[in-house]
Amino acid sequence: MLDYILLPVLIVLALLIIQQSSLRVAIIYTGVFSLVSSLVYLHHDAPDVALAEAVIGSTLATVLYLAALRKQEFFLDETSRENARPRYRITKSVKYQRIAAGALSASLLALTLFLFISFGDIEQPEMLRRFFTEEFYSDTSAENAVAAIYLQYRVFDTVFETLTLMISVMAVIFFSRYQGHSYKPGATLWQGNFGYRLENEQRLAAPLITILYPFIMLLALYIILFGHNTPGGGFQGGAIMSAVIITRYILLPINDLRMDLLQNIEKTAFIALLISAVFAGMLMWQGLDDLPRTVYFIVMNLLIGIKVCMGISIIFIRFVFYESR
Amino acid sequence: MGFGFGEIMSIVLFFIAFYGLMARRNILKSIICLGIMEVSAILFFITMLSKANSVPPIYGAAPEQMADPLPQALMITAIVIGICVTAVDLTLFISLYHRYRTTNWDKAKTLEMKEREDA
Repeated sequence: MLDYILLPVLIVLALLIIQQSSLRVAIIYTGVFSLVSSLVYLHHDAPDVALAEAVIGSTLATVLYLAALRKQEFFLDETSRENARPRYRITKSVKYQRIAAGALSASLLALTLFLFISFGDIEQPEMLRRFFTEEFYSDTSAENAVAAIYLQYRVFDTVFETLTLMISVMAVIFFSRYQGHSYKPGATLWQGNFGYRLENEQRLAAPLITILYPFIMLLALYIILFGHNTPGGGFQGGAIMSAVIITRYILLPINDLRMDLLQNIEKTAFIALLISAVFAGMLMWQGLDDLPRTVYFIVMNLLIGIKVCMGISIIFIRFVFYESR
Repeated sequence: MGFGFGEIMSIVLFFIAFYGLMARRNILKSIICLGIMEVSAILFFITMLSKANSVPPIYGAAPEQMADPLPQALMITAIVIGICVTAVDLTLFISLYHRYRTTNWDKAKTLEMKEREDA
């Protein structure tokens, strides 16, 4: 029932994002879009995916988009800032292009829907579903079936996924270089875009963020440590943990974190993850009792959490402090 | 068994993002449209074969009532890889902007052609 309300809302939001001329507003709409889609996942009994989408897709992606947009606007120097956003003139060729694009998408949509409705009547793969839903607790002694799959049955997927995250961190590092944008009193980095001085903002934010720190860490640790029994896990908890770095930037925009230290922690966590996945998760798994299995899940979730937290922190720091190559 | 409202809507969403990719010339808009496409794919997998009275796949519920945990585990992977792709895309966008000072695909292409002719 909720589907009939939420899915049309998603469609309307997607159309609004595409039609919106102000990029800042479009980015905020994207965050709302992700949040609504997370609600849909929750409605379809996927709490792990909903949590991941709410933390990563809705919050972190929006922060990265806004950081990129601000960086782009910061590049405009004072003279070009006045005509920073010239009115985009819609010429006739652009109009025809849009009509052609619309016609092509609509016809492809009609074709796909026709094919899907004609031939898409798939039988539910009952055997596979029953294998995962009936056997997972006796196989792995984890109460959350999703955690059992991504940490035991298909642990290599998880290892390669963390590898993908590391490669994207390397790409972000490669494409950005340092130009020394550290905070100075009255720095234009903030002034130019928001129009207020940083000191006032700090005075307001400092007590609030100081109170928030322990709660963020507590929530992240809870989600990581209980990830094998309740919805949650390393990815979601690590992303929440990286919020500590992001809020720290709001309070104190100084680039004094040692990047090489963060990178070394990330690499060490990845190697430990690989070793523990291969040895404990695959080779020795049959000989383990309940307690070592639970320890394995907690350790794996912790390692993934540390790795994701470091990776996202490095990406964020590179975004806000470093210029492009 | 048929197909649900969610699957059809995710296909519609995919093609809306496809239209956005083709019709809009702004680079940041293109990256956002890729994000919408990713959400539509995840939505398809999650709503696929979902039943009316299912429960989350956590031990204690009846196994025949549980939602299928396999696509869920894979979709967590997809979300994390999605943010990786977005981060690299945005970095490349900043690089491109730094070089050509434009957010428009067409203008960037024209400038690149001009640069190549000069060289």
